Amino acid sequence: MIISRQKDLQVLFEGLSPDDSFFVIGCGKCAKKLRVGGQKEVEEVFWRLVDRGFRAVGWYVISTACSINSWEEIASEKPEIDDATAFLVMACGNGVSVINRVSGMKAYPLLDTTSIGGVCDDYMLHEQCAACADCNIHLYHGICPYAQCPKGLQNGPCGGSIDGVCEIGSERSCVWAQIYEEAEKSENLEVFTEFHPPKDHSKKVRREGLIEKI
Amino acid sequence: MDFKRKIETGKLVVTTEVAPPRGTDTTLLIEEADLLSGCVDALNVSDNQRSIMRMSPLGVAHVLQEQGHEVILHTTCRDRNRLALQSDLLGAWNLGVRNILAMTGDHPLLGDTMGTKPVYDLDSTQLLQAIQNLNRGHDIMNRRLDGGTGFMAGAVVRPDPNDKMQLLRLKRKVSCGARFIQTQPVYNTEEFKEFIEKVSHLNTHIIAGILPIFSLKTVKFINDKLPGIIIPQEVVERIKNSTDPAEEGIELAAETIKKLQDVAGGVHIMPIITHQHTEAILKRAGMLH
Ligand code: SF4
Ligand code: SF4
Repeated sequence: MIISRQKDLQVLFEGLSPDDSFFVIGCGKCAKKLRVGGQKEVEEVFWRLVDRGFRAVGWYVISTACSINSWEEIASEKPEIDDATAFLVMACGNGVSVINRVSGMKAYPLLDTTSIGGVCDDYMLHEQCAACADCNIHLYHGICPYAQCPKGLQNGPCGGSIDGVCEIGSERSCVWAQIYEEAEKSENLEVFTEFHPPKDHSKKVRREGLIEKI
Repeated sequence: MDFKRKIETGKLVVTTEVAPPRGTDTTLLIEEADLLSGCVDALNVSDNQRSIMRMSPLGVAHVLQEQGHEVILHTTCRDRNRLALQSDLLGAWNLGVRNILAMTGDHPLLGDTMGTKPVYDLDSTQLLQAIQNLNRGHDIMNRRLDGGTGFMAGAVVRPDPNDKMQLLRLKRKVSCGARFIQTQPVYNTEEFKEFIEKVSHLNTHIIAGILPIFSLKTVKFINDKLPGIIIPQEVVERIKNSTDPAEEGIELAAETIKKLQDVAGGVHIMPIITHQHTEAILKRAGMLH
């Protein structure tokens, strides 16, 4: 799941042109689940646009904003979309990018995409994976320090890890303390004794280009 | 005898720390360093400590070496990737730097330049390994260089005998080439002894950190800005009740050093603002002859 949060709409609205006609788009997957781009939020933005005197022509929640087979299908379901000159998209950056590509229209993001995470027992899990293209999470008892440590440290905690708390602030626990807990539970401290070489960042860049036939 | 030789032969060392200027004016830096002439083996030069932007430690190292001081160059992983770290280290060697303190570096979120992109391409153990490679005349990819380095590399630790993770990490730092270790400030000497017992099997030279307290302001600074350092109430009381807190601070630091002399491989003095009293502390502790 892609984790996003809503931008400050006040600030965002100030940057919009009164000459545009806006259509608000949500996403029925991650953004809906995280309550930042489902029907309720999309409608709310639509009415706020109307209240602020903008021309708002309609709204729609696409089932999966980052995976669109046919724009025509969406346009046939919501014909008023043709009256729009700009989209306001309540989906992750992926969604904005795909919508832009398939529609050929100007699309503004209404969300800030923050990380790859998940939802578990009604809790949002942030920063679970950083898409490093060199996955070795199994070495760390299923807790990825590359993603979850603000420094991405692969060989144990920094000196700022004190009593299980991360140096960047007391609300955040040190991921290495969690890894240690798991390591102790499974009576295997290898992750603290083995040396982990630096990550191979060359894997992260796709030399083959960004479009690939499935 | 230089710092490296002292470490190699297991001698007691005295190191201290100077902060690079926040600007180009090095007058104060040189004045501070001059206060230390003849009483310390080497000066640590910090690298944008606490992520507060200052002059590059390599530039400062050059200035200090010109004045005849030996330096320990702090090298953090926060601001440079493996390319830049290696090339800076080669440059440092050619400028005459012989000692490196490898550190991860405080996160930019703690610093003064909001929005900074943290690098952390390597961590401190990976950096130590890279230094070992340079010392063997090879780069991080194991390719031969035209001339290698011969650095004495070290690392830091919080000397907490009960922090199992930091103890494991220390072991790994040593196995990656940390031949000396400078510790965070020590106030509780009994706890420090316990720490030393736990790490005495490691083949490295442990230098105890001393952060002298000359006023209640320093106490406040430590409590606010340096998490993990616990000042015993007794120390606070002595500063509070003293008619001459600076003098009491000298006495306290000297007492600590005396208690540590037989357990540690040396002391690292790091007062918060000035080295005005460093010589007096060392004299009082019997470290100067
Ligand atoms: S190692 Fe971490 S960041 Fe990389 S792919 Fe695996 S979970 Fe994601
Ligand atoms: S305290 Fe832990 S999680 Fe935070 S930066 Fe240090 S190692 Fe990473």
